[in-house]
Order: sequence, then C-alpha cells, then structure tokens
Amino acid sequence: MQFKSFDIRKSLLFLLMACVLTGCMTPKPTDPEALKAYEELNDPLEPYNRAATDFNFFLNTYLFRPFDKIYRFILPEPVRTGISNFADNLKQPYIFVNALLQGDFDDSAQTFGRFFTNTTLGIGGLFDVATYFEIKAPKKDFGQTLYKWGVTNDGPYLVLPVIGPSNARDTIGMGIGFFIDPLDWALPKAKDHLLWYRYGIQLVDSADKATDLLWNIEQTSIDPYVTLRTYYRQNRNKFLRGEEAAKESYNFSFDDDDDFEDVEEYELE
Amino acid sequence: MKKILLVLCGLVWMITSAHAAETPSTAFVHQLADEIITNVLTSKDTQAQKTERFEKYFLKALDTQTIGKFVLGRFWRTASPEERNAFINAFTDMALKSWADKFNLYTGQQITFLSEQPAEGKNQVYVVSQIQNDPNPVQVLWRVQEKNGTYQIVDIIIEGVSMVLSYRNEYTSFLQNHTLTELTDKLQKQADSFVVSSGKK
Repeated sequence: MQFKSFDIRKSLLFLLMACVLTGCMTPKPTDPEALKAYEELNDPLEPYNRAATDFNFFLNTYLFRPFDKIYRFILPEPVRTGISNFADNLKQPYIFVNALLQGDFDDSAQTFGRFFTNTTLGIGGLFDVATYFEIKAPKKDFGQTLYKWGVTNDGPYLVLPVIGPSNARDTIGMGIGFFIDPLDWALPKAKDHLLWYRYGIQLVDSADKATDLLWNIEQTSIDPYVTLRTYYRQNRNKFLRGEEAAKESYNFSFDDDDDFEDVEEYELE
Repeated sequence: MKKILLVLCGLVWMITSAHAAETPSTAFVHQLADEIITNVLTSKDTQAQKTERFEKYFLKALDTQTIGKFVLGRFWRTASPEERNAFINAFTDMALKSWADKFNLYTGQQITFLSEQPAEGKNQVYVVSQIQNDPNPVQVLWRVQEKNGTYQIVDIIIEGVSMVLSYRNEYTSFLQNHTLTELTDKLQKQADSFVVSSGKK
C-alpha cells in the first residue's frame, strides 16, 4: 500500500486521541473562587495527566536512565555528539516547512542552509559544521505555527505517554506535524523500517538529554507532577510568546504578597 | 581623516571599557560563577571538599530567607516563627542538593554576561547571561538584590523557567491538602535520601 508508512503515525494519533478522550476529568468546582483558580490552572485532565506523568517517570527510572548509563559508558562523548547532531539534522526539513508556513523567510533560509551544509560538509549530519559557519539553528514546530496563525489559546495541559508534557493545541500540532514532515515524504515508502530507525534515534537522543533533569525533579520535588507542569509551561510560554511575555510571569514583586494568587502565574491570551 | 580616526578610536575605547567595567551586580555574579567553576566544578580536590565549598558559596550568595518567605505565599503569614525556621532549614537543604546536582552537569562550557535589565522591586536587577551550548546557547537570568552594599541572588531563571516561581507552585499546591509541618518533614526526608543524577562526564 502506498501510504503504509503513515499507519504508524495514524496509530500514534489514535492513541493520543484515546488518551485525551478516556482521561477522566476533574469535576468543576462550583465555588466562584475555586472555579477561578481551576480555570487559571487549566488542567481539567489532571487525574489522567498524573497517571501519564507517573508512567513517564517510571519509564525514566527503569528504562531510560539505566539505558543512558550504558549508552554513556560505551560511547565516548564525540560519538554521542555525532548522534545528537545527526538526530538534530533530521529535524531540519520539518523546521524548514514550519518556518515557511509562519512566513519567517530568514529562519527558513537559515534552516535550509544548515541542513544543506551539515548533510554535505557535515557528512550526513554527523558534524555540526553549520554552527561553525555561524548559521542559526531556529526551533520551530507545528504547534507554534498554529499559535502564529492565531490559535493563541493553549488549551488544557496534556501529558503524552513517552513524549511528555504538552497541551491541546501543541498535541494537535504534533499530530499534524507527522504528516507534513518532508523527510518522511522523501523516505522510500516501501522501507517502512526507516521511519522506525528515525524515531528510534531521536528517542535515544531526547532521552539522553532529558533523563538527568527528570531524575533531578523526581529526587527533589515533593510533587514532581506540579514541578514538571510549571517547568513546561514557563518554558513553552517563553518559546511561543517571547522574552517580554515570559518576563511578566517571573517578574513578580517579592514584597506585596497579597495580589499574588496561589495559582500558576501565567495567563492565557 | 584624523578626526574620523580619533572618533573611531574613542568609540572602540568606549565599547571595550564598558565591557571591562561591569556593573556591581554583574561583577558579583561573574565572580561567583568564576569561583564556583575554579574551586568546585573543575577542581581536582576530593568530593567532600568540593561539596563543602559549594555549600559555602550557595549559602552566602542566595538570600534563602527572602526566597523561603516568597515560596510559601500566604502560608508564610499563618506560620509560627518555629515553623518558619524549620521550613527554611529543610528548604535550603533541599535546594542546595538540587542545585549542586544541576551544577554538576557542567563540562566546561563558557558563560558570557550580556546585559542587565531592571526588575520589579527595590534594588533588584536581572543579570543576563548565556551558557555556551551548541547550536543554541542556554539563557540564564540571575535576579540580584542589593542590600546595604551586599549582593545576593533571589531567583535564577533558566530559559524562562523561574526557580522561585516553580518552588512556589509546587509548595502552595501541596499545602492545599497538607500542613506546613508535613511539607517540612517531606522536604527534609527527601534532602536526606537524595541520589545524584548520573552526570555528563
């Protein structure tokens, strides 16, 4: 079948939707004060999200972390950097398309230059020659594209199994993102396994980068769920809305305590 | 022609000297970072010595009283002096271990100080820095407070994630269903059984 390779993504998408739909919801409070806090917290799927977060921490402790220890032990740092560069390079066509869709021609040109340089001079992406030539490495995804197109409401917080924290808009963005990645179109359709290798390499690289932070959170937070949620939101807020909007959330006053609500200081537009 | 050269020289001098003469807040963070890198992170001394040194820097540089008060939010006001003290102690212990662990991921990256920005509140500024990380550097903001000529850090913001705001969200959420004593006990227990992450070495 011509679109066989997309079946993997279709099943991922179904899994995502199933998670969202079956996730039991926290009942809405009736008290006005509590309702306000509830809405600002923007986490109606908390029971499901907590279960998914527990699952992800479990994966990290019993799978990613032991695996990563071996990975770091057997592969010297330059090799791991090569793998990381390779994984990054595979993301460039996707970033390029999103830069175009956002009308950001400077970033799309930089991304194109980066992909071309690293694929050729950098031997298939193993070496990051582009950074040496001071070619920028913009970060783009389809969730962000949706944001730029006017979907400024994040939607509820959503934790995806294996992948981690997200929200409704960015999850939909990721789902659509599976279908607009030029690299997947370019891969020979008959060779379904190439797609699996690709996601495999990216998973190994992401796990290597995230495992220490997750471990640190689990060790030091009294409620890792809340900590991960606030880390994710603050970071994503800066990424989407920029420096100034991020500053609004952390530039609080230490003195006047009274007008500081006990909810996450982050507002939806 | 000579005039133009003179103006150019003057400009170059102004730019370079402005770079060399850092403002006191930036100089404070810069020196602290340099000392931690030399005496702790890249030092060849025993782990015990390095841990002790880091603790000294951490306790001196961070205003744990201001931070501790802020992270409890409205729960600070209803707490007794003993409860406050016990919380600050457990919180400091936990934060110390957590940050020592985060600093341990350092493998020689360069840290550059870029600018200074105003912050809400009296005598506070953000010292803007970035840590080398290819292809994209990591942005770190140090919120510094000046009190009677001494400088202390009240918040560290990494890529938009504020340390104190995160602690505050974590603790006030816990305190919705628990007492402050329970929070303090849990923090202390966690600090005592802390296991470091694997590190990038």
